[in-house]
Amino acid sequence: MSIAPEQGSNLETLPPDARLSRIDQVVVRDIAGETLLIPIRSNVAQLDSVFVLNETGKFIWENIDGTNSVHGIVTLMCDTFEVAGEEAEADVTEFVGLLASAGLVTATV
Amino acid sequence: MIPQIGYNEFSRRLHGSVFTDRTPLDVTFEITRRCPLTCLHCYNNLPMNDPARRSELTLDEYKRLFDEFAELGTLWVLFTGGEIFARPDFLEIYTEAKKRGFLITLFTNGTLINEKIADYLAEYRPFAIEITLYGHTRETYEKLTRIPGSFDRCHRGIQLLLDRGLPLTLKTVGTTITKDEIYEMRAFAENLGLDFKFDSMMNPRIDCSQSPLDVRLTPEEVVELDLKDARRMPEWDQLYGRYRAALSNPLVSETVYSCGGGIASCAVSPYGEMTICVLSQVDRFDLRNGPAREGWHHFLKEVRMLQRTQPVKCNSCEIRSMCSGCAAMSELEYGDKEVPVDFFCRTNHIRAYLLGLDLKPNPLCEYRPGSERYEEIQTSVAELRRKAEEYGHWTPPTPHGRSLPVFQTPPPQTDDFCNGFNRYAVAEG
Repeated sequence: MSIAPEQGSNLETLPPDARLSRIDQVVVRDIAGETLLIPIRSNVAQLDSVFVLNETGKFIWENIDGTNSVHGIVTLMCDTFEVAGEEAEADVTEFVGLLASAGLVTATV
Repeated sequence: MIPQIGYNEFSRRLHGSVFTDRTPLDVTFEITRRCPLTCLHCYNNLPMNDPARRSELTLDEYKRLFDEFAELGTLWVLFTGGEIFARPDFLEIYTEAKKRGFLITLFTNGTLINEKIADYLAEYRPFAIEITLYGHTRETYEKLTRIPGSFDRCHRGIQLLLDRGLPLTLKTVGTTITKDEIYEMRAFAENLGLDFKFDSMMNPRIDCSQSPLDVRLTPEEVVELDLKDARRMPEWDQLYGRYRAALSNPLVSETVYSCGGGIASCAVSPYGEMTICVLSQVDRFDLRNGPAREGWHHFLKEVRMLQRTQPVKCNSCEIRSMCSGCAAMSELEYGDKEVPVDFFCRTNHIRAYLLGLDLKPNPLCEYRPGSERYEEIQTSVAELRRKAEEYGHWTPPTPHGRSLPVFQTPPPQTDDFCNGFNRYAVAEG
């Protein structure tokens, strides 16, 4: 099953082992200390938006690689940052949901 | 983790950061100087079949330059001309820029836009598109462009972009030919739900011809246009206040160039020459013979840091923040970067006196109290004040009824203080 990149996609309803993929029509730019996601094609839901990521958001984005799941990224986060598992899971789930709503990631089970 | 911030705040944050670490955030690429129109006021157009086309950068050269500028930190790219669609491969160039994640603005006259181009732009949306109108009526438009049929082609292009919901702004330039139709053009744009802007600041051609000045308005006519719109004089007042603190920055007060050129922006000519801006023609770095990094970090840095060699009235001018004059304009008009252009100085002083700004005497400035042209410029100001009351859109303050605040030091503004068209103020929220 694949989640279409459309407004309102909700990954919270997916099994936590769904594999997450970035769409290929988005460019990541690191400029003046900011990490930006810039969609380049109109089949991306929010083409007129630029997404500014903080350090954690960047970490999650970089680990959405077609093989990691929400669960896998939570584990990686706990290994990398000083953060409790429950908090990390809530953050990753929320962030991945936002990315899906913006049409920037898809999930496959 | 995905902060939602307004576009203007985002832009200010990025631009603010580069004043301590020069970064070419904004790069203007003049794709070609060839154009199907022959506008009387244009500063750089060439005929469509001009042999210069053989010297224009190739697609492969653009790919290399886009890689280099992306590496340097460029985010905003402006493609301008000439007419950008005069190059048959423009969409290929554009696509390469999109792939690098630039936020792209297109300046075009719209006359070459067809369905194929419009469809492509709808799929790969630019950040902004700006089309210049050269008149509200066909007669005026084609009097300036000197090309029959160009009015209809422009309007067709506008419609094609509108049909696809593309982010379009319309604009015009105030000239002796267009001045009586400016506000009809604004109404046309606003009826279409589009933003509109105009500017009357014109300069000679980059090939040294003074011909555009034949259709340039007088400073009094430029300011009179402001008075016909309730919004424009308050906007000048805001501009004055917003960037006033920046005047004490050594990058403004002591250097020949005082804008964001060479600090946060630069331009690339159709032939691969890197300059401070599209108007600056003397100091050029050849990107065909050296990398953009070298041009930016060494050549343009030296150009931007050039210190003034003589005291000029601009050094201590407290209304410089709303002046449209600059070193590149001086270079074009007088062949000397350091000689202030009277057209801009006079226009700025008329606006300032109308706004009620309390200008101090300055022996180097002929428009200040006690100087030789003070009484004469006050005659113009009085006449314009009378016209402002007649038009009734904006009420000038009582003369000398306002003083500059002196007891507080505003926080330093490190924004881009280049005046004129603010080409990025199109997306908000």
